[in-house]
Amino acid sequence: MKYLVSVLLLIATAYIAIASLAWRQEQVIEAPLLGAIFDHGIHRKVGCADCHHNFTDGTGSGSCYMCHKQDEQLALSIEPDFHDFCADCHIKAAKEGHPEGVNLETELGHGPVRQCSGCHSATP
Amino acid sequence: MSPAQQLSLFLLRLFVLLALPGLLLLVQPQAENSFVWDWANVLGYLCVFLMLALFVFNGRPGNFPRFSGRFFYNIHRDLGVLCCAFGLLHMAILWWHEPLLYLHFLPTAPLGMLAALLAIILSLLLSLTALHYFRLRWWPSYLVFRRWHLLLAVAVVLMVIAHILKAGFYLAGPVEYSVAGLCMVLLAWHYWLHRNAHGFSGEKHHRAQWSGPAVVFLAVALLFASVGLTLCL
Repeated sequence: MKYLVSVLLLIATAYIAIASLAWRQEQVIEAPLLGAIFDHGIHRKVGCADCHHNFTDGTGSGSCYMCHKQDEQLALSIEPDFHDFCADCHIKAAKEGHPEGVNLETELGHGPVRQCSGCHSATP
Repeated sequence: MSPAQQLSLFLLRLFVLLALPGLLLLVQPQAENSFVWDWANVLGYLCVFLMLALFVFNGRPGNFPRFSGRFFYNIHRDLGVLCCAFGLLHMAILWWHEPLLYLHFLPTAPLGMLAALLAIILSLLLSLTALHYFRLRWWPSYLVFRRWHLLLAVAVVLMVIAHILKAGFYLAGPVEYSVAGLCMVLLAWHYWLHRNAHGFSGEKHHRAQWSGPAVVFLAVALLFASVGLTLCL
């Protein structure tokens, strides 16, 4: 009897965990985007195709939103994808010794690496 | 050696053990100076090392300091409370510094952050259900309690490891991984030393009531050290 209860408890826990993960995935897909501040002017040193890869690799011709938010598979990983993409570049520049912010003469510097509010605003 | 000297040495050993994550932060090239952010994360690492130290000083008697078994039980309990306090501080300070982090408390948060949230909740439950009052009332036997306490504690550690690896701060390169590995080896060595001492408890001095003030002293020392370390970064 004890073993039966244990097995049933285990099955129930696994079911709840799987159902919660599935529900979370739906929530992630439907969640509104967090607003981000992006200035093209201070990113002139970055190649256009580094971000707008779809124009060179033939994966589409729309905005970031059209694939990364509307495609359900891509929407699931939008947070790590964009954080890795933006923050990694900022961290790399920071570790190379570039100062924070942008030097308008040299056009060198690094963007925010830790502060959420450095890139994000509370409204989309 | 007098009981006070033994306790001082024991605290020094604990302090050195818990200061190990400092190495991890010192080898990390710093990308941005943000005292609050770094300090909150130092507290997070202290919480993790305290968690691992709880497996070393697991409530069973050891042969040093030569105090009664009750001291070792109390020190495990008080270090557990300190571990929860550091974990909550880590979370609260980061949230205060970055209000947008409320998003990490929602179901849509990254899995690494949800793992940390679950780990904090489980840690609080672990501490609460282990208190003498609740332990006697909630658990059918000591053995059942011990098994579940260990099982859930291992689950908490795994969640915290997932949180650290997913967050990717401070632990993101070969040097940092090597230092983290060295810290783990030192912790494992302490575990081995303490494990070998099980059953050889020195019953020479009954100093169970010393654990509380000792842990408070340790907490203050760690807080000062963490502020000092963060200022050095």
